[in-house]
Amino acid sequence: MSDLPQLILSGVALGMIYALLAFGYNITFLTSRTLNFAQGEFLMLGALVAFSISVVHKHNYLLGIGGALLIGIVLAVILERTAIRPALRTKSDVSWILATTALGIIARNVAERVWGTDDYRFPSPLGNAPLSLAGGAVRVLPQELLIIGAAAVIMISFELFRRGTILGKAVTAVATDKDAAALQGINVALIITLSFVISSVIAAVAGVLVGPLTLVGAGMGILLGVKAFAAAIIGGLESGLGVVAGGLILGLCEQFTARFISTGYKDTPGFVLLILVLLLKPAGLFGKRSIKKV
Amino acid sequence: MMPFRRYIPLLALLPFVLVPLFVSDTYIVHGVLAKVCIYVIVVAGLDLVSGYSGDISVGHAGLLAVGAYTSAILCWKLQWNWWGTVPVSILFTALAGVLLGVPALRLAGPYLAMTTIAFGLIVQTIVNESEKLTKGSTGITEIPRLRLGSLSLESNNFYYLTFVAMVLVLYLKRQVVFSFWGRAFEALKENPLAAECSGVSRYRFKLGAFIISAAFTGLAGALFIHLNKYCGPLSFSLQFSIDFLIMLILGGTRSMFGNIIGAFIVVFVPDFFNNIAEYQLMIFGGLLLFTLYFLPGGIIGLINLLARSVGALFRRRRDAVVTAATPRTFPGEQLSPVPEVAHQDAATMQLQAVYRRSLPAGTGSSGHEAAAALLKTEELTIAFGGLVAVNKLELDVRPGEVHALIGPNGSGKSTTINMLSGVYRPTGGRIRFADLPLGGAPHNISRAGIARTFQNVALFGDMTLLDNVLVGLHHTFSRITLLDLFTASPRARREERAARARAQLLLEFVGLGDLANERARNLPYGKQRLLEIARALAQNPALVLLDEPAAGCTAGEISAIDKIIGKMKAAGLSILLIEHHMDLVMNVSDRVSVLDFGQKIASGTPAEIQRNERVISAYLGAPADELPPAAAAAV
Repeated sequence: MSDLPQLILSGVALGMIYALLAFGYNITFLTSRTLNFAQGEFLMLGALVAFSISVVHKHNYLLGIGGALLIGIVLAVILERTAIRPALRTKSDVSWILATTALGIIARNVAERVWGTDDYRFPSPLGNAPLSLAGGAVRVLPQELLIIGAAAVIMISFELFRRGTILGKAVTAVATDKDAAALQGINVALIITLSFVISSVIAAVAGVLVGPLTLVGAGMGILLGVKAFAAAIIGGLESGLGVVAGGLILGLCEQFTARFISTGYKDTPGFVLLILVLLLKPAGLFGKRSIKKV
Repeated sequence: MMPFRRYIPLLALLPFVLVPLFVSDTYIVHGVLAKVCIYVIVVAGLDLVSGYSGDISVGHAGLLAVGAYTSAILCWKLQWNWWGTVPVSILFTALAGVLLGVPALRLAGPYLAMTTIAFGLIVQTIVNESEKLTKGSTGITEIPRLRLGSLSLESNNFYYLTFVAMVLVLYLKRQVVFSFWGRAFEALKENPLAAECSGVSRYRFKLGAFIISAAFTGLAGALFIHLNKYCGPLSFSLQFSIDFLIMLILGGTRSMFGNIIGAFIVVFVPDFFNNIAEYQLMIFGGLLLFTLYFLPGGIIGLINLLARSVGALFRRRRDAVVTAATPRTFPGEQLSPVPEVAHQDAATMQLQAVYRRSLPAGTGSSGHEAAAALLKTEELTIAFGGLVAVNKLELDVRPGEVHALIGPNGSGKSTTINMLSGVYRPTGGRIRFADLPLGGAPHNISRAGIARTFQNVALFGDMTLLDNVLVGLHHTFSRITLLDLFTASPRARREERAARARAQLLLEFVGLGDLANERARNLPYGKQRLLEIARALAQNPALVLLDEPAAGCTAGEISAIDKIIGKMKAAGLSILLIEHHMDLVMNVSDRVSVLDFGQKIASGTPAEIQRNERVISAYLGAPADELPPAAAAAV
């Protein structure tokens, strides 16, 4: 059990990636009652764009992040225009679930054509030499610390934006009551677009962050996206704090399963937990139950 | 002659069984056409769940894996004959369908989609990790050769087997969806709450859809392993589940030909245009997006639309608008036309013609005590968080009486009806109905003899008026099993005929008889309320809960409702009426109870209530110092 602190740290780092994606699901679900089933593919494209800029063309790492941000914005606008806005008019869950899924498989195919189907190593900007903490008791990859720090910064800045700026308050208003917000002169469509832009940009940056831990390639996103969605539901899709907690729980669960049971089964506990939570407390561990009016 | 008409679409498929006589290329017959047949089976199953019941499943590749591995493992490990493995595959996959379906009982939309994805991924993981049983990622290659007696079913002959299986599945699917099962699926999709309150068990039919769907997929799985004589985990990826959804949406949901067209395109296109294989996902993703927003009915929807337009050009006597508005007909309609009912005005028709309930045991006959109250609530209470919406309500409705429940907005009237109909679970107190404790899910309460209407009209908008009432008549099919439907037994056909005739009579009763084949959403508001009453009466209730039946109605419609309530009463029905139109209330009610802030403040005859000071102050307000103590406390 001497590796316990290390296990926890790795679990938290992985969990933060899930938390970032899940945070994106939470933002758009609150404003539009929809979310992006292609979120994992957006993460993948962010990672690959940054890989091309920073590794292949050997530009500055920050330029790579800039590229990921840009692709995140472009993808969000495409997604919102082609998949979300038409679906909001039809008021059917089926349309947006399938439409965003369709965009996801298109994105994956595009990535396969541009980058091929191979996986690539994406070296961490901080190097691969493990750091020794606590007098050598814990050895940790610097990238894991970067993930934890960067994810915390991203989520805290969004909270500050939401609470401290007039635009952020408009996001909260739309999330609370679309019609009332519209009557106060808030451009609801714009806020929904904004929420998708934020969500996609966060996903793209998460891709840049996770790249050095995994490999980057066209197939890297699909499972991450699905598992982050599971994490969001476990914590409570409508609770900002809940989705973060869900991400951390899932990350830790996976690390522990891989260590103590089998690496082959490391994807399973999240899904089992998901089904248990949905059957026992559908609003999620941290979600509030809402009463349906008849 | 008539009964055969419903099978014409199936018969139209039969010529395709002859394809191998003209095309001998094994690659086309075994590699493409047999694959199409197998995929059609899966898509037909998926259509039951996603097309008819409206629950997205992104986990059908997982079900296919269960079927395929069951058959492959039995053949390989236990040396079973493949034919013997088929029923086991179907059974195991149907059981897996229960697992996939249970979340659908409580979840919808993205939550359900996620659980089905999780199901597929869990199946794939288990298969990958159970090395001893499944050979893990290597997969099972020991698939035996197929024989039927001395006839080899390999190569092109395999196509015949898959074709027969496909036609069988499409036949079974038709039998299910063109029956009360199909109506239950659609009702649960369009308005689950209204469906349950009309006596449809969500539990039975949601799970039923998943189980039947899974059984079909299990059969497909057993066939699937013979396509490449291989069963490996990579075949059953998440993408494969999405492919089945693409086939379903692209071809068109709720259509046999749609299922076939969708499967054919998705299999055929990448196989025949090799140079596009690398762009396959882009093309299918694009097609899916395009279909979703420009062809909501899929390719078959487009074909039907074109066929109708062309047909309309040639037919002068029926104009195109009527043709286009005519909903798809159930074969049962062709099979058993509703008997011509002499058109009767609602004003002259009596409810006895269609109302066939013997009152629940214990009422009426068992002495004066029981007759004193058909429905009785004792200290009925419900709290939402800290808000006590209904507080210790004592209410009784006597057999054959019209009891009005009135009160200002927010006084707890609709909440009371929601508790009585099983929509809300009371936090305290008891409800007794016909001397028995009342409780349970809404469909149980409907069966017990309490039907309701909704304050915000809750109809099945895309279904016809006749089908809306038929959903209310769901209880009349309680003796019809799936086997009856599969075999089109005389009993099943008789019940369907009888129910249709009765539904038509009920529509006549509320004055909507000549609109029977119109879609409910096309009705004006007032007529929608009448349709709700017809659907409630179809449930053969002893007590009807009418939640603001006259809200938003014109004066003419209100007087129609007035007459209908009178006739319901004459037929021996008890009615609990919530209404804000006081002239209607005072006109039809025997007794009136008044709620204010969740408490009963008065009860009596209409005349007594009109003079009651507390009622007047509750409605019109009074200076605080003149309020009675209880009301003052509640404020």
